[in-house]
Amino acid sequence: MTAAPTATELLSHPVVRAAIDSAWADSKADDPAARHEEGGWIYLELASGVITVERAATGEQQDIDLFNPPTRAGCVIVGKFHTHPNPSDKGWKPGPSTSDVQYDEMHGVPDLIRSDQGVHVSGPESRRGGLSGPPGYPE
Amino acid sequence: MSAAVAAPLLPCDEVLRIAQADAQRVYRDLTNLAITLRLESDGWHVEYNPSRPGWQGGGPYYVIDPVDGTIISKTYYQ
Repeated sequence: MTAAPTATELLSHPVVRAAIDSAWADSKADDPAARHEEGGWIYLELASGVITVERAATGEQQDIDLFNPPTRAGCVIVGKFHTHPNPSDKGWKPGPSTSDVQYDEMHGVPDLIRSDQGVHVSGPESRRGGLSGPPGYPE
Repeated sequence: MSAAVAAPLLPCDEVLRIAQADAQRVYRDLTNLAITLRLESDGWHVEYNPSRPGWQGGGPYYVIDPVDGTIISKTYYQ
């Protein structure tokens, strides 16, 4: 395997879909007093092409820390995901914020953002520079 | 003949009070958001952004009338 999966390919992967759905459920979007962001990272094992995910620590109502992903032997990060659980019909913007866009460009992998309007994609279409480079975010 | 007198602009602390009142109603905790205010041609822009390094997300963004303090537009980022 030489090419990093695209955001579209990640979104259609059952492991990624399940992780996003699980994060959305854990975000408690229906509870105004408890809703918060959840998220994590998407890994690709270089030898096998297997996709796995790891969840990040729970975020706050309007932000989350995805800055320092744990590394996995033989794997590279090919994407990340997080939730925007606040309701768009109450004036909340479902898509990426300015800081989402800035961090997603810096991190160099697609960011799949689940909201009540569906999934938004921020950042590059696929891991910057392909599958080469460090096991965490690309340089 | 009398000269036209421009209406006085609201001071920035009053603009911040208006923004903060709405933000506190919508966001559970504002302590980790940094605030910037700037006066532009369409009004005061009050923007809240995550202040903790590495945290991505958002805060409220207001455009406020510089004379009467009306919130012209607001967006709640997350």
